[in-house]
Amino acid sequence: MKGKAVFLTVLLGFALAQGRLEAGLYAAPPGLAPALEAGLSLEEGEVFLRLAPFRAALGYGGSLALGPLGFFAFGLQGEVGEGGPGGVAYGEGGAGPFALEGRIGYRPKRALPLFPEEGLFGRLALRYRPAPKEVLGLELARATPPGPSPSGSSRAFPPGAWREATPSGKGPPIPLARASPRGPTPFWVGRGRWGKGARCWSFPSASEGQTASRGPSS
Amino acid sequence: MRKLAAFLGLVGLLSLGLAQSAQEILDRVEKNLSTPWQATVQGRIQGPGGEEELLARVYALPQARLFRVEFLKPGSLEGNFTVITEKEVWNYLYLTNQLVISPREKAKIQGLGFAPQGLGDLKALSEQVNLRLEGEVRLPEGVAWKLVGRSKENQGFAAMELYILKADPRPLRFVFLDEKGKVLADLKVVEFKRTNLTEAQLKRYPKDAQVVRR
Repeated sequence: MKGKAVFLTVLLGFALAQGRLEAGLYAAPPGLAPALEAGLSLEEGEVFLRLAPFRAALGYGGSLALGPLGFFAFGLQGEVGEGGPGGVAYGEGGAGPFALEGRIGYRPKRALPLFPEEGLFGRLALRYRPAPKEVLGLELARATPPGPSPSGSSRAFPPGAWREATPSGKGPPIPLARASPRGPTPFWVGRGRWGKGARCWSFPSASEGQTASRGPSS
Repeated sequence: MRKLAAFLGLVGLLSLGLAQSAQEILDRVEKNLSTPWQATVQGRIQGPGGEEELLARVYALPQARLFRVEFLKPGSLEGNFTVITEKEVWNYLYLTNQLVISPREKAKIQGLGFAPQGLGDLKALSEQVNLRLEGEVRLPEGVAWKLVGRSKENQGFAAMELYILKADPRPLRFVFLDEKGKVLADLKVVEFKRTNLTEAQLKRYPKDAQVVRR
C-alpha cells in the first residue's frame, strides 16, 4: 500500500514537472459539478486525461507551428462513461489567408461540464481572407453551438476569433458580434459570412432559427 | 611544386583573411546598430500564394536583443507580426487572433523561404549561416560589402547573400536562395532610422489574443 502511494506520488510529481493539472468546480444547472484535467507534455504534443462525473476521456493533442504563416492544432480523444464509449477528433488552425476548424465526435450521453455535446456532433468552419479587409466564412455545425467549441478543446477559434480584418496600425481588430454559445442544437446549421471594412453580415439558415441571428457589427 | 604549395598557401591565407573579415564586418554592424532602430524591408518572396511582394517593418532594441517584424504585405500576412526575444519567438496570427510562443531553437521557418528573425538580428543570422566576404559592390546607397554563405541547418533556405553598407555598417539587402540557387526571397532595406523604442512597444499584442505556448 505504501509502495503504491509512493509510486502515485512520483507519477504525479513527474506529470506536474512535465505537464499540467487543473481541477475545477463548475456551478451550472442542476448543481455543482467537479472536473479534473491533466496533461503530460511530450516532445511534440500532449497526452491528456479529462474527468467529469460519470465520464472520462484520454487523448492526444499536437500542433504544428508555421512561424508567421500560421498554426495548426489537432487532437483525438477516446471516452468511456455512462451510456457507452465515445470519441472526438479535431483539427483547427490557420495558414496564410485560410483558417479552418473541423471537429467530429460521438457521445451517447452528455456529461457536464466537460462533455456538453450528445449524439453525433461536429462542426466545420472555414474562413478565407481574399484581401486584407475582407473575410469570407462558411460554418456547418451539428448538435454543437456555432462558434468556438464549448468543451475547451478548440484552441484555434477562441472567443472573438471569428473576426473581420481591419487595416493594420489602426488598433486591434474589431471582433465580430457572434452568436453566444447556447445549448446544443439538434439541427444541422449552415451559415455563410462575408465581411468588408467595418461591416459584416451573416446569413443564418432557416433551420438555425435564432441561434445565429445578428446584423452588421457596427 | 614549391610554387604550387606557395600559391595554395596564399589562397588559404587569403580565404582565412576574408573569413575573418566577414566576422569583423558583422562585429562592426553590431557595434554600429547598438542603439534602437527601425527599418522598412521590401522585396519579393515565395509566399503561400507563389511569388509575392513583401513589405515589413522591423523594429530593433539591440541592447535587449529584442526585435519585432510587422508584416504589411502580402495581404494574407497583413496584421501578423513576429517578436524575437532572447529566448523565444512570438508569432501573432491575425486571422485566428493567436499569439504562438515557441522557444527560439524550435522556431524554424519553412514556409516563407527566409528567416524573419534574421532581418533584425544579424548576430543570430550569422550563427545559422557560414558567412564569408565575397567582395565589394556598388549599390544605389553606396559601396557595400557582399557576404555570402550557406545555411548550417534547414532554416527554409540553403544559402544567402547579405549586403552591408560600408560607410554606415548596416544591412542593405538580403537574398535567400534554395539548393539550386533559385531566389526564394530578395529583400531590400528601403528606410532606416535610429529612433527611441521601448520594450513594451516591441512586445505589445492585442489583449484578447489567445496565447499558445509550444
